[in-house]
Amino acid sequence: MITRIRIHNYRSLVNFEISPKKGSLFLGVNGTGKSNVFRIFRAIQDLVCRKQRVGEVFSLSDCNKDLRDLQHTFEIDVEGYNGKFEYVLSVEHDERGKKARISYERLAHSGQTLIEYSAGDASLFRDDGSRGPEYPFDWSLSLLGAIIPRVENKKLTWFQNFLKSFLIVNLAPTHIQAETQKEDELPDRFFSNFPSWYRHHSQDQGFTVEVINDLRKVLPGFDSFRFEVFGEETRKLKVLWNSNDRIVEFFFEDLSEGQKALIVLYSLVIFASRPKGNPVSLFIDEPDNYLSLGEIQPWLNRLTESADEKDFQYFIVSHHPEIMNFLMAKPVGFLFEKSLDLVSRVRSIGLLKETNLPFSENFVRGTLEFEK
Amino acid sequence: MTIPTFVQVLCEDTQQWVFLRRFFLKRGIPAQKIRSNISPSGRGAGCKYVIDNLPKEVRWYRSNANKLRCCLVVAIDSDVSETVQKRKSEIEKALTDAGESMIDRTERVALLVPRRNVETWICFLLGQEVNEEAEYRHFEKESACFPAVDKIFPKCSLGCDSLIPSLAAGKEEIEKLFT
Repeated sequence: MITRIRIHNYRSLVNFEISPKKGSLFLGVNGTGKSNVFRIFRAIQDLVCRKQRVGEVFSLSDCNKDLRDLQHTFEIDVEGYNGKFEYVLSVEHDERGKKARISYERLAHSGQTLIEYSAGDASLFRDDGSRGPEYPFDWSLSLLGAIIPRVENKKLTWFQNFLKSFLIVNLAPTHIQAETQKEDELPDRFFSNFPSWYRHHSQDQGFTVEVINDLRKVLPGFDSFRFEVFGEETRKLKVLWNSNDRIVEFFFEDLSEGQKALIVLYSLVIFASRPKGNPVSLFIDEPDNYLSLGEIQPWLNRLTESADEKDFQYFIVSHHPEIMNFLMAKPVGFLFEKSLDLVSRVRSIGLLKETNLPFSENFVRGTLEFEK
Repeated sequence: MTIPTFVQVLCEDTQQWVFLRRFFLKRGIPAQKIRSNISPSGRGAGCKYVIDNLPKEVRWYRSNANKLRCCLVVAIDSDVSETVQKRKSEIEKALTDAGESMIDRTERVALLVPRRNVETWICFLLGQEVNEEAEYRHFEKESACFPAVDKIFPKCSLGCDSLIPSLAAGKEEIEKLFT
């Protein structure tokens, strides 16, 4: 579980630091930097897990406009492998924005360094603390992402897999088509690759059974999924619908946006709650966008109860009163604000002072007051 | 036995809600038909929130009970200094002040007053010896109540004499919803 996040000089996030719990709601008016936190997590995942070059992931325009600083810093602390991981990454740009390079990268576990990269030199350490090889390393790639799993670096492998288990989604059901050419382990930004993601994970029979059972309860008429084969690699995801005791088949893209969103959101929660070697972290930007009012709370219940029972972490960005009021019954979140200097300010949402109004009304009226 | 088509829950905190939602799911109510109105988090304010919101929830129930076959569940901890009867008197006063009549035995409105709080019920259902005066600590995970909910039916089928008094009273209230 992520226990601390610090981000410096990434868009509006300057000296930004939070200590999240198992569930976190990011609240704030538009443009206060909530989604920037998700954006940098995706950037780190692209850099480390998808092995992209730093210049493809970070650009000079990601630097804060008011801060004359050309370096981003990202730090996270993570509880896991019977200790605490500390990961630090610094990325530097040249003044013209032509080149980005990693200036520093370090992963430690319970105070013991596992890898360190600085000024072109990489140093590796084994799980037992002994010094491993040292060598010059390419500044455009993540050292953490380049290390191959071995028996002597199980801690580092655990952390690589932890980053790989981030499901970061800004759901846009319009982009989801039925066709899939290959299997995908991770969602893309808008989850337009849902059929490819489902194709990959449907090899876990327990997962598909659980998804189908849940969807039968929340989508009246839903029966199951089927992949129709078109050529060697191409498949199209079909949804089987029960209509007056006969089964009707639809291509996934023929569903309504709301139906697609429900299918995706329940699939994500069920996937996160399945037993795995590594815990999953869900990052969902405005999950409520396509859901009808009556669907939001049941999905939130499924999410919060599963996270509590199965120990996974979730982060949600939302403006929806239904989500605010529900999650703020037990304050789990952060309030984002922005000052005129284009810097996000964040404060932890605490116990609300006694009020007869729902949390969302206090939020809209600007009368949120927390216990000291 | 008839099953309500919509269950509205007015409660003090998320532990009560997780417990009650699990119970109604077990009783066959679909997840979309169980809805919460939980007190916004505030130290010690949960009870006041429930009492303040009760009249409008009762009004909603009464204007829809015939067409919807809905029901209302109100959960409010008795806490240590208050008796179950005192909490019920506060509820009655809130209704009277708002111009609503008392809750009738025939209405599908359940008033649950765990003593001292819902954690007492959970510990009892999990097989612990409990004292309704004592405070039982909050669980680290709210889902820790799931095994307790699963034991409600075997425990409650033994009759009210085998239950702690506030749970026995709660059982009778819940039965009203399914008649």
